[in-house]
Amino acid sequence: MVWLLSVFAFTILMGIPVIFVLGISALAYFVLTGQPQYLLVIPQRMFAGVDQFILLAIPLFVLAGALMDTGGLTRRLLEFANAFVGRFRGGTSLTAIWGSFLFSGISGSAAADAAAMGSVLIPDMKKQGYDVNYAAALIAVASLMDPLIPPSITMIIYGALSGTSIAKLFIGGIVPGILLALSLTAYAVFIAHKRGYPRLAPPSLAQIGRLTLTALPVLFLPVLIVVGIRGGAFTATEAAAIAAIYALVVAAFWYRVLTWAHLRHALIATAVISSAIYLLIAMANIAAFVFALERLPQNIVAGIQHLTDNRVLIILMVNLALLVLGMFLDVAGVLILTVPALVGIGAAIGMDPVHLGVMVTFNTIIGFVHPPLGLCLFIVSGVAKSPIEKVTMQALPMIGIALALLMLIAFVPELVLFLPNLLVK
Amino acid sequence: MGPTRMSRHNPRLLRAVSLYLRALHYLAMAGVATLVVVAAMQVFFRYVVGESLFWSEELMRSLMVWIAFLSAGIAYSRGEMLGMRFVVDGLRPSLTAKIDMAGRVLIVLFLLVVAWYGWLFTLRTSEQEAVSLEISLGWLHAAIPVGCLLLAVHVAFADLFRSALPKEETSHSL
Amino acid sequence: ADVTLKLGHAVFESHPNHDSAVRFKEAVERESKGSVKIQIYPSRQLGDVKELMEGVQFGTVDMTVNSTSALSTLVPATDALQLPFVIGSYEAFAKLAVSPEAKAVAAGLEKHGMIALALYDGGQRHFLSVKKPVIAVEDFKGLKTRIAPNRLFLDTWRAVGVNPTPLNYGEVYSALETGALDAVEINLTSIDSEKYYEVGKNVSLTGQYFWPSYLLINKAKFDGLTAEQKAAIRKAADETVAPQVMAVAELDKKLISELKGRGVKITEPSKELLDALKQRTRPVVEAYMKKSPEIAAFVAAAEKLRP
Ligand code: NA
Ligand code: NA
Repeated sequence: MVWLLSVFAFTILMGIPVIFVLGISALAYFVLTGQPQYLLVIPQRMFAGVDQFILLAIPLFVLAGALMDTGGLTRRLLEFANAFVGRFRGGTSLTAIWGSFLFSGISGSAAADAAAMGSVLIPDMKKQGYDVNYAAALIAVASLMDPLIPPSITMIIYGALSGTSIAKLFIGGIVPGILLALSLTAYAVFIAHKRGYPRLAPPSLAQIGRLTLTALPVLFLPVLIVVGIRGGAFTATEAAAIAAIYALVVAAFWYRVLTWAHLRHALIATAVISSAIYLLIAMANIAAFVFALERLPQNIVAGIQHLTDNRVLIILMVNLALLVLGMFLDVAGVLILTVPALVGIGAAIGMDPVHLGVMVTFNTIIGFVHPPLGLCLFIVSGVAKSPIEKVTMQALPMIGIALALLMLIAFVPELVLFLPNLLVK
Repeated sequence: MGPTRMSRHNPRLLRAVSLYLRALHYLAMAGVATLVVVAAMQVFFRYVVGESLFWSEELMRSLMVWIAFLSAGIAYSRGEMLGMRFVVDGLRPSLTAKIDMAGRVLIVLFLLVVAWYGWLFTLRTSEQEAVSLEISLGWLHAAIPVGCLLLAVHVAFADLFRSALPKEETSHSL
Repeated sequence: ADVTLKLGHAVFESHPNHDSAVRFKEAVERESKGSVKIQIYPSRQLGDVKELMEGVQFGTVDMTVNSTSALSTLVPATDALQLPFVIGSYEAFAKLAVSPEAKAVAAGLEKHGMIALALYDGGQRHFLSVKKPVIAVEDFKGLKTRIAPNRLFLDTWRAVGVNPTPLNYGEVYSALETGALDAVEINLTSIDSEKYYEVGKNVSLTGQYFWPSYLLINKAKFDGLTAEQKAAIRKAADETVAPQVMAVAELDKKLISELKGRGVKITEPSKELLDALKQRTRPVVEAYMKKSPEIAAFVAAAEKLRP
């Protein structure tokens, strides 16, 4: 175990991509502990890790998101949100939050959200006199709604790793997602008044009607997904394919903006992004084998239980450990390495698996916006052409809000479980 | 990992690599498109026709494994595989370059070992049949050695492959 | 020299396969006087069904208790163990499990580097439907029924008349709930542990086949043990079969009353229904008997045990 951890620490400090760090550490462990017979396990575990039906939702939802974006559906969604919240002080910052909220219902990843919202809104907000770092930070933190509100790639990975019902996780994330939208709105309104950010002229009723009509096909997609799944037409995984086809049809035949270049770009982006996620899962599955051999999850659970049997303290320790890990690994990496132990801890303290899953999801996705690895911060600072440190400074209060919400969710399980218990028998 | 200038590479070589990359892109596109079509067929045949497909699930899983491993090289060349850079990037540039070189050597060695054992794994499981596709499991497992070998080449010749990557595909991804 | 063998399996600790592993571990540690120790890795820690089987083949996992159906693509005669309506009762299964005919089926594994030490059971399979109970054979017609992805099950359930749907196991619960599936063919322990009874309230005790598991050991590992150790392992494997199988029979009885208490409607199929099912699936049995002499011999032995 010492070997594994030292090679891990060494290679990660060298700046080697996390994907390879996981594999190299496991390989080094097999060789340095004199167990070369396990080298044959490496390809076997890699294959088994990604040969899972549930993971197909990843490329399919990525494709749906890519088609939405290149097909101009994102812009229509934002115009729709703008028609309702633009009239208040700091109107465009509210559009960023609620546009992102709507986008969350069709996209599965925070990165897609940050890129889509950022590229459309940051230039707009800059023109209207917003601090560009604030605009970028707001969009980055708002993108956290995406993996909370279904569909969610993070929850699919968590469900696949832990055996928790993905349908229930999806529904369990809705209330936390709405709470995040509401608290960010409060913060944005406060900032807008303090800094005197502008309000936009309210559109006429006819304009609102027209914008709503234009956005209708996009707004209909989440309805289609929910009705289709609840009605037994398709499963949660298959819904991803339906979403992709729907996005394609709407962009091509309704808005008539889809070109071959768009399609090409979306298909390749899907293959490439999914490839990176798949390889990470494949490599982590090797590391998971080493952990199983060393009985690491059992030892961690036993260690924590040895330390304390105070439920509150255990939950706090789990959250702290996840946040610290999130500084070194990306979201999928954290999940893959910790879920077996987390499930054990959850069972030991009698935490509902769906509650645990939503809490862990919320915790790990905060890693998208906290330094040094926050992927969404990188994306928005790239779009804003602003140094990441400046964006991070503006993001800190909002990360604080997200952390406070995380604690609320951790200790008030009803916030998570109310909806799934209501909707799923 | 070092500056990239087109002129550093033999134009013939660059053209050959471009051709290979273009073929890889088309394979990935066709793969993802097929995935969507088969998923839709699975729904259609179960829900509308009432005759569920027996082979679609295994086909989709296997297809996506192949897409993922074949596209890994492009993903690497496009910079989709992130590391924790803030330590090395804070060092002297010449030192950073040396560490990056050492890192790439480690990655290539690792991938070659995986490719070799992946090949053994493929051979040793080739007498088993895939459940519904009724082809040797070796055809599915071969994605690992093939993908890792290609990825090793992409990592070893990172500059060359990045230069040869079509311009539009290096644009900011989702 | 003393030896510790790693035994992995793919189920939770409430499943009969875990019970099998524990029974074997206790028996072999007793029979060998501690010279052979077993370390159990439950719940897919060392891999799922496919990897465990490959692992025993390669020698990266010493032992496993693993569903036999995963082996039929490697040794086709394995299908003998799950032909529809051939084995009638748990008593018959326990006898057949140690019969020469069953050992002949298992012998095919040796050339793939594995030895099957014992044949345990994971629970007889029945039929759970969501909307209404299946009373007559026509009630099966067109039901979207989840089956494990395996050629034999496809042939069997096509013959019954359902719409066999090889949906991913992890999606079965929600698919039953939403109506993407109408039914599932399954054992009572899974109905209980996967909570399918929450979404499907009709169980017909059709008992189409059993869900056997092999206790597998890597051949090279086994051959490398001392004669005493081998003898202890063989003895422990043999003596645990009947108690294990009958424990599942007892568990089934207990689960039936528990499920009834949860409002599940459990029906014994009528003789007419069973006869009709047997008649419909008979051509499948005969087709597989023609495929291999081991299958034919096993079916003949099983039929001698039928009342
Ligand atoms: Na969002
Ligand atoms: Na989402």
